[in-house]
Amino acid sequence: MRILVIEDDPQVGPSLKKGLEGNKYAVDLVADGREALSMGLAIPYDLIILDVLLPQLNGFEVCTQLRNQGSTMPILLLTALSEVDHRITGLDLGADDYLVKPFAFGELEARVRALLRRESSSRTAELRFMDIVLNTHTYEVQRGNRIISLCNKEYMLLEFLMRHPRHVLSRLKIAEHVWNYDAEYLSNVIDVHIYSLRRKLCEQKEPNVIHTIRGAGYQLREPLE
Amino acid sequence: MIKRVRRIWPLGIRMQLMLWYTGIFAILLFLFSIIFYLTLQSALASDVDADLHLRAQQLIAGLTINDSKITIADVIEDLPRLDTNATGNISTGRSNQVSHIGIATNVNFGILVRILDAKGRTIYVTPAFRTLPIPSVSVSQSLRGTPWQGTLITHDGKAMRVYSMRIMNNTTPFGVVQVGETLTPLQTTLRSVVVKLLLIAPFILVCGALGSYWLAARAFVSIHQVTNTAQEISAGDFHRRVPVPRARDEVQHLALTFNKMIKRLEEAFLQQRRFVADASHELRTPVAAIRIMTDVALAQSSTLEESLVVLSDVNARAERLGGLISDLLILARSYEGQIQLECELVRLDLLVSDVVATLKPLAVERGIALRVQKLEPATVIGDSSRLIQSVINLLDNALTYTDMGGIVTLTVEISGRCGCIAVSDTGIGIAPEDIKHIFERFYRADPARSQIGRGSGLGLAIVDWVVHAHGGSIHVESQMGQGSTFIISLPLANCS
Repeated sequence: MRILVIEDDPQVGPSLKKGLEGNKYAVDLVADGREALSMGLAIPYDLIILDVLLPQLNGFEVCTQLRNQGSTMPILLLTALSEVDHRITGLDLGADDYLVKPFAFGELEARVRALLRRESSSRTAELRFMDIVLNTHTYEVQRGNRIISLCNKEYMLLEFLMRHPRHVLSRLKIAEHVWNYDAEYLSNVIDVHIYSLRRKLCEQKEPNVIHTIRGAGYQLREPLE
Repeated sequence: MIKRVRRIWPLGIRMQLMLWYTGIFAILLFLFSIIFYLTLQSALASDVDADLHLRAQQLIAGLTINDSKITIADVIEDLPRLDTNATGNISTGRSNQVSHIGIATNVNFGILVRILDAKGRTIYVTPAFRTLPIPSVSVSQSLRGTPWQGTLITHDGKAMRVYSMRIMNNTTPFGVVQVGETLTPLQTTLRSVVVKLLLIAPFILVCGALGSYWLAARAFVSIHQVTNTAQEISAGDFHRRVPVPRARDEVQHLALTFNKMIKRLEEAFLQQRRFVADASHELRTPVAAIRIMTDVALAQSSTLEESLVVLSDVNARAERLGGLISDLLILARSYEGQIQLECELVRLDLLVSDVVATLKPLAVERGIALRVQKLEPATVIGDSSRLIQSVINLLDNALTYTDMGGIVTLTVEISGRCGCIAVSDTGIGIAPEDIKHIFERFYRADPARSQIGRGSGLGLAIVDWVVHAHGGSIHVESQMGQGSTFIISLPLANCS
């Protein structure tokens, strides 16, 4: 899952990015409102974490413009302003949630999980597809009773696939949601990661669920009988 | 030109140097003056003492003691002329032994003589000495045989040096003779020395300050030359160099360092220019191809099938263009140090076998055998995506430069503290003179051959960057016509 963090504080921004990357999200960090708006419009983020007090364009304006341009991704507002009026303004402008600084990072993590859940069918921290269970809180992946250890990128790939079951996902789309701006998209690298993921998921001769759709990309679906 | 604004504070280095020099100079001058003054004072004082000692001796030598009567002979040159006729009969009446002194007091007030008997009673005194007090220690110490000398102050406040020595009558001390001299001339001399020093010192200090300022200025002349040349060197004018002074000193060192820096800048500048030129060329080629294909297709109003062929060609070219731009971005961002590795434990053997499995169809398509010879389990700390990308780049290169029927072999083995990935091919090989250039951006030993592959000419440059960012190294062995082997060595993770 790819998250855009918009925070101008030179200490808070990088530590949010690092913390969220520790939660196995691909994170882009931007420090001013104008750049945030252009990135938010160009890249299909799964979530935007937006500070209200920003140089150039404030958080409320960024939020308004994103919604006006038709962006539907969840937006989490972060701010030191705890007035009820501000919260009402922010939520009415199209934000999905509101967190007042200072906050416990654990609460931010939980709210991020909750917001990402809205887009998927699952209502808990666990994603399920057939006998595969992925816990977005503990990062544990199981197939049947077998615990599977995945590297970061494999986990992120599987999470993305499991949030979009049966969708045909192009390599470009996968790259956009699993890698951040620092990593340049390379279709072969994705192929290798998918191959490795498939190998780990099918280690005990279980049926393959990640299907290659020639010329289109990958699809998570039940094996054809 | 840059307008120079002169500020008082903070002080310039020249001003600072001048102040330091002058301060040190002032302290030295002060110390010198004190030492000079003290030395002069003690030299003059010891002169006076020696003179008094001599006079006292002469006086004693000229004394005749006869039945308690004491007579001063007329033979002492230094004393005022003794005239028996003009004898100042100073009979004290207090002395039983001494009732008469035959002495000439051809009165010279500068000469101070006093004669005392053994009990400290004055027998004879010249007028100028009369008002001087007689410290008892002067008499007692002299009678014991040790001459006494000291400085006494007269009632009008003048300093007087007094020397006191005993007079012997055969073997018994008879009395004491005291001679004295005023210290006024000595004090006058010393005072005039102090005045002169006080007058000269500021003058010397000013001269010293000016001199040091001038010296500092001289020392900075060559630095100014370096600065001026540096200012004249603008972007693109890197062929100029700063003049190097002959003397082996700090300025020469500065100039040499500066020249080295300019040389590096020049190289970087040329490299950058070449890179931009190469990149533009590389970008232009696929764009030109796309334009030609679409132009022709549009002009010929071709059928749907023909258009589809063109479209798929265009798609392939666009993909290649996208890859090239991605590679350029990676390199640009890596040089700026913007890319952070997402490090975790990575099994090189599994990584290589996954890459081989993924690229196998490509090898089959080109009629090249892709083999894995040895896979030793090796774990390193690294960014799996970047490492996969590096192995793909090496493999892609090997497949590009190997002809149909060739063999590409991969091995993973542990060598010392490193995990090594080797990619060998039976391809065309690399000429020895090309080997040192192959990791440069856009370097191609064989431009024609590169058109076959999907490579952008940046693949090895990226591999080089990734491997070095992981703290590893890469080296190449190659023989023309026999094939090449690329070996990546990465430090193993410290875990059992």
